[in-house]
Amino acid sequence: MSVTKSTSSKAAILGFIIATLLSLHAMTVRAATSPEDKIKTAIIYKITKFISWPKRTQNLTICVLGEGSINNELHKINHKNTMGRRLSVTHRDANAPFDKLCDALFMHSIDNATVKSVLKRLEGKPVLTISDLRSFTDYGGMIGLNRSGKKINFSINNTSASGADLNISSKLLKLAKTVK
Amino acid sequence: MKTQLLPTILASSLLLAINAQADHPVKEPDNDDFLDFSLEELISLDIPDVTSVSRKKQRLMDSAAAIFVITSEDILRSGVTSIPEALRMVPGMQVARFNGNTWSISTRGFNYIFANKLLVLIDGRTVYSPLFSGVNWDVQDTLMEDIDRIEVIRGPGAALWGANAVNGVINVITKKAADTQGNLVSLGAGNEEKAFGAYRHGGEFGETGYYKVYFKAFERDGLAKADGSDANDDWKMKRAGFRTEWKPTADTDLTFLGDIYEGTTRPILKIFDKNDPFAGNNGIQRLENTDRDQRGGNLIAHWKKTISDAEDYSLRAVLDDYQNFDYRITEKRQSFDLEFQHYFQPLENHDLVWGASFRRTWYQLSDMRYIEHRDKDGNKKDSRQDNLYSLFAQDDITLNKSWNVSFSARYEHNAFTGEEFQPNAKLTWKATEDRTFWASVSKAVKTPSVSETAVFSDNITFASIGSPFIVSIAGNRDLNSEELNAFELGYREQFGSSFRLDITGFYNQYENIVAYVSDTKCPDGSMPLNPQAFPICLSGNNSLLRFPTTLVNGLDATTYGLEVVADWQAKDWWKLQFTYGWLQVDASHNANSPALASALQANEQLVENLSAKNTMNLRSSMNLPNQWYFDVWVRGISNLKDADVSGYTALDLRLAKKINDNLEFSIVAQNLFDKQRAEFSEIFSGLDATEIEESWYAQVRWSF
Repeated sequence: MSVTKSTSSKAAILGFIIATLLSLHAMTVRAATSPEDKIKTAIIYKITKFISWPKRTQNLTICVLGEGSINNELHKINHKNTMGRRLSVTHRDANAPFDKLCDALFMHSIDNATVKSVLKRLEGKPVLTISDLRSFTDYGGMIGLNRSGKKINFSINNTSASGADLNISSKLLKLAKTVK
Repeated sequence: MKTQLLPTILASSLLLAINAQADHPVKEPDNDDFLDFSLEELISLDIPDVTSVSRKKQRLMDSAAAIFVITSEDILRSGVTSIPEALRMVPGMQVARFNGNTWSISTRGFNYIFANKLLVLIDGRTVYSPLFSGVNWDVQDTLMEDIDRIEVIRGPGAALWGANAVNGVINVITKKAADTQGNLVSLGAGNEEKAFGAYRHGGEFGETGYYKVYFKAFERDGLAKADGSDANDDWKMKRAGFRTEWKPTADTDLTFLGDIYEGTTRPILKIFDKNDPFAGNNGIQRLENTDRDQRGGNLIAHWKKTISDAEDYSLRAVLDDYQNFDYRITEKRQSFDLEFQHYFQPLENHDLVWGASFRRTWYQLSDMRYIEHRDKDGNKKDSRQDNLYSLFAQDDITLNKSWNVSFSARYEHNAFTGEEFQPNAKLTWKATEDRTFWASVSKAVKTPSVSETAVFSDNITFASIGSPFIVSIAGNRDLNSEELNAFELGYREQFGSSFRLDITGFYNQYENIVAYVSDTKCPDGSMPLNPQAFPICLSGNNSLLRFPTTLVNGLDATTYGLEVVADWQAKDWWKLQFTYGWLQVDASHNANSPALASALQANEQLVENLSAKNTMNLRSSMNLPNQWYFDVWVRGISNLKDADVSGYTALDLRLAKKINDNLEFSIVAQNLFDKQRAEFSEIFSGLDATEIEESWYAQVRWSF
């Protein structure tokens, strides 16, 4: 802590901070993950255990659309097992053919228009859509992660899911805050 | 649409484990632990965060400030029944009960019932009284069960929160309606807490709306006089409040909350009776059983629009009404606050918050028997109106994984000194995931208050040199702001999963602290005798001598100290917390004339001896078998020289039994092994000090 020695003078400390700022500015940035990211990731992982896809393969691919600290957490569940299938987490951009590549798609930190257009493209396709975007399930998304107070709960749009031939276990439906 | 409440299938042992997590925001399990949690557990887990430091949610471990969070569990398990008593848990916080309804609460020095360097907010509403430049603590209350957390920042928070956040910010945050659904009944009785009860009901409306309403009432017994007899300063209060929140559209949050209250306290007053100056004891009267009625209400509307995770806007409006029917003066005050805030990320690693606010305060003053408000010509004035404008910004820059720097500043225009600028810079270094160092340098000001500039008090302050005399105090319109340059260093570390250490050191330099000096005019405007050396005024009947005083920015001071918090989860079922505060104060005067210097030297001693040098807390929380809970709280403080209170140690105990998740019985004993104890005294307010007694109460809490 070289700051300690500088406390005697305000100017020295400000100088130190500015120097640090300038010297470190070019370094790469990686936002720290928050407990919220970790809880959301764990919920996404758990949710996959309650869904049956029409076609069962050895791998279950979760695609991620959007940038942010939660991606670091999501990558930690890569290669984990869920109901006998191996999870594979991959990052995609908005134009990717999600219906061919993904069993589930998690969207975050992106604008509503993109979300709506992706949902439209995936309508009726057996891709589980998940997002922490507000009112995601109202837009036709299948599972919305919602923060309420200090807790995170989720809502389910079962109409969208069954329309896409995905079967959501009744246990999950019971745990959801809202189901439509 | 079908709505289902979360099933209540969680075993209570599981709940305990999760609560223990919530208590320790920094002791989060690593990712794999969360993955081992069931979905039921995950959705009932609390996300630990704090908001007061940066005005946005942030991990406690990463905050570049000496922040301490009193959680709702701390409040319930300690058995405290009021916000002031809860603040005793904070490291370095000095809480002294002066009488049945008045506290002296301060941190980092300047411990006084008019402690004016702390900013206190309840759900974002400031409760600092600009008239008496203190806090009417006896009306700052809510349902104790509904306090989500009290975030206390020791040290300046002025850049974000505004003037007077010089030595600290206390932010009381209540639970959302969404988190307080259903019904709660809480009832209790005891020897000092004679009877108290509360009822809360929370429900839903529409598809996105939640509401709650509550009512509470209590009656507290008076404290004791020094001779052991009843001081009769009882305290009764009734309060009703509501909160509602909903989302009119997917990205908009609307919150309304408010409460109304009324109550009575009966502080003992010591005054010089102008009408009957010869009625014994030189005309100094003790008024007991004089009701001091207070009532008020407030309404907060908060609108927030979320564009994305990285951008939102909010607007907050606050209406507040406060009426205080004091024997010395009747004060009615209304204020209106409007605040706009915008958070966004202009660049990838910059988190920017900026905002603007406006406050207008209206005062109506009447019955100015002992405390007068005067205009600049010295005539009684029964109303006034003050405006406050401010603009603030903070840029929080993530330099890389381990370095973070933030710059913030507030520009403010107030009614007393005009423009003020309060900047702040903070640096955080996360040496490892579990070890954080931070440094902060800030400037903050305490602007003069109405009481210091335009209020004249007479016949309520006494001193004696052999025989008693009256000290009359005249406000000074030319006062400047008190200024602070503050330097802080902090260190936090999480050792394994069971031990956490948080150490803060501070070095504060104050300039232009307000001090009492002789006035050149008597309270009635006449010239005093002996105006040069030791002015004396003769009252109409000469029964008591009167010394006229006024206020000047006469002192500078340096304070430094250390605050330590150690949390230890000794066993799954046993948690210990130790806090310690050490404080040194060194004052000096800035006078150039010898006459002024001698008066200011007395003030130096006053400032140096206001606060205790050492404070400590040791709290133990045990979860025993069969749903028994046992809590012990030992707190100690060294002597207060000015108040002539010697150091003491106090002991509180709480034993609770949960019949099931919804029904709990508890017994609380407070201030054990001290039949009664003085915690504070002072002469300026005209209030008489009374003493705290050993006490106990029993309580039942039922939710359904």
